[in-house]
Amino acid sequence: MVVANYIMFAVMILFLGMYCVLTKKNLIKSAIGISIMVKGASLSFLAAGGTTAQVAVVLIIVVDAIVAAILLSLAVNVYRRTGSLNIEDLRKLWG
Amino acid sequence: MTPNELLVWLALIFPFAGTALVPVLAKAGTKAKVYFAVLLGFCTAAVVLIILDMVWFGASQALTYSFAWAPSLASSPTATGLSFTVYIDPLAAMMAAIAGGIGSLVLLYSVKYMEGQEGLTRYYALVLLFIGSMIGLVFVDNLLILYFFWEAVGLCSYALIGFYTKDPKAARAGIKALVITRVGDIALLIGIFALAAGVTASLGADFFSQALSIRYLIAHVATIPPMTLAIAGFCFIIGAMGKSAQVPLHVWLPDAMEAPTTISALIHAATMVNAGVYLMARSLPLFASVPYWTDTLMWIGVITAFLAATMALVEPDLKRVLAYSTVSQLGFMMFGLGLGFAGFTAATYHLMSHAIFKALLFLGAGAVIHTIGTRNMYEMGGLKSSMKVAYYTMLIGGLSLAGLIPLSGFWSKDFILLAAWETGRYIPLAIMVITAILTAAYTLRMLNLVFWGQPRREHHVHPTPAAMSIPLVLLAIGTMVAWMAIGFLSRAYAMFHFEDVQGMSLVGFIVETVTKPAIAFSLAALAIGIGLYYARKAYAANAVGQATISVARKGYGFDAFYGGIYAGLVRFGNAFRRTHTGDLNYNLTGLVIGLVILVLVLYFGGFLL
Repeated sequence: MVVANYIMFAVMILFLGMYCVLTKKNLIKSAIGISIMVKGASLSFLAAGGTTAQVAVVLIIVVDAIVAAILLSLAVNVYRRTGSLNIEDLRKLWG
Repeated sequence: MTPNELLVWLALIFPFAGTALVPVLAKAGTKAKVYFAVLLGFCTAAVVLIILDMVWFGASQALTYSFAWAPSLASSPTATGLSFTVYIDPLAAMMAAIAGGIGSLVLLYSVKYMEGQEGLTRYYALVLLFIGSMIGLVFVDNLLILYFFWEAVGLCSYALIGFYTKDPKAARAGIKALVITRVGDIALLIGIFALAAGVTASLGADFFSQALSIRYLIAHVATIPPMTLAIAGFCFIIGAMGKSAQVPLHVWLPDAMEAPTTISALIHAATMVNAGVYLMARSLPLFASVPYWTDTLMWIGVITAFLAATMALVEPDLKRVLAYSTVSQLGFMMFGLGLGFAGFTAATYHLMSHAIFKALLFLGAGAVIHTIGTRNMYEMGGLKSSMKVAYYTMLIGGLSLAGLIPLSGFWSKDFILLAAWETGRYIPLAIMVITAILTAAYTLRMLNLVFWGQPRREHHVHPTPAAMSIPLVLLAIGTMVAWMAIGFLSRAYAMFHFEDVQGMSLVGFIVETVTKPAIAFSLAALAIGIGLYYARKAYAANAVGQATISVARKGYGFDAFYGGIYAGLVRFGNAFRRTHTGDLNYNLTGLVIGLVILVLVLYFGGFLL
């Protein structure tokens, strides 16, 4: 089954991204991890097939670009304020 | 589009377009913006008065108009989707006329009262939105859309109570109003969904859109399961208690006095608090058969009216006295509706007369506060000769509230007492008569402290400007003559076959009022109330009197009770705060573990695949 292979691969990408987000301390690496997770999700959509899925994936790509832009601009601002990109320095957001 | 449909559209478009266009016109200058808002207010008033005229005096037929709102929500080709249905019967037309008419006078009054304040664009846009939402609320037939407008009214009240954003007390009062009415709103939403679920369960999913139509539900009340009706009915009561400030959800209303006085007038007379009474009146035919439903409503009204009247008696703040008096009068209306169909006309009639004289009292109080610069009545006094317009108009309003014949407050209050007498509810009737006594006493106290006697300090009194005195005089005239509308009101109700409502002529109404024993209660209450006020020193001197006064001043501890709940929630939150490490990795790990557990539960529970 080709579809099953695609889905397996998509799930692997998803877990890869998740591992990245869960373990990395660098804000930019977290942002990259989130992008990887989204890629895994869109690949599973494509594997399911059909025009609706394709339309959805194009939409996801556009939205993901915006999300990445916002995340990176956040990272830039964090760096300007704290002088580092380590997320442990952001603990004061604890509130 | 027929002329009728055009009218319905205009009644909604004028205020909503105003909300959108006032910020645009703000570019053209303050004057243009303000006059535009006032103009739109009067256009709205004109349209709703034309609608009132058509519905009350026209053919015995409601103004209806319907367009498909979400036709795709139909569950099968035979079913209809949700439609935006307008259904204007005499009750809805009256409510809209109150909202539009008094709202436009408040707008005119605001021109001078709010002159030079910061944030006027926000003020006028929100006032127009407030009026428009209220008109929408009473026009629609669909419960979901009604709920939408219900929330819009709540949102406007929040934003306008907290209008002075730099004053922490005002901001707090706005949030308090929003949070407390939210309790009722959630209950109302549950009630609406309970009705929809019950009706679709018994009649089939095709009836989803009908299950939200008030008219359909009332016509087919026999087919609705009794349990559904009971759940929905009591949820609706809680919803009305929040909006109409009934005990124990009344605490937001006195605090809402931090708003500009014009907003108080709008909330108390034209819009917000009437919504709950309207909902009860509208759904009375639906829930009247539910056991204990009307009794619950009646006792809520009785308790609210009595407690609020005692609090009004000891309050030093002029606006808060009026606020408690509103709570008390709303209790009268709920009491009237709790008598069932016998009190229906009386309660809605009292709503109308109360709206007029309470708007008058608030705007008069606004003129006084505007001049003196304080709300504490113990710093006023002796304003009778220096503020003639405010004095005479507030005297008329106050005497109407106290129940002096022949002002409108007398007739409508007497009508409620009469309905209680004729249905044989003697114990609640006795409490309501005591409340009427207290009403006369606190009104007299207010007039005495503000206008009579010697000035307690130097005041720089400036004359009331025309933009402020015209609404006052108009409302004073309204207070004197509005009661004559009873003939039209009851005839319109009878024409629409409102249950058990008899049409009566004005003369017949007067004859009935003066020949029935209830008039003795009303007049005795007025006399005893005046006597009670002059005997106040004797009462305040003894220990029992002191104790009750100090308890009532603290609002019977309702605020302390809610404060306790709030403190408990904060402590609970602080205890659970420790589970938040603030570390992104830990937080996300928790999130992923939660997701995995959820998927596993769903999978093994058989909900997936």
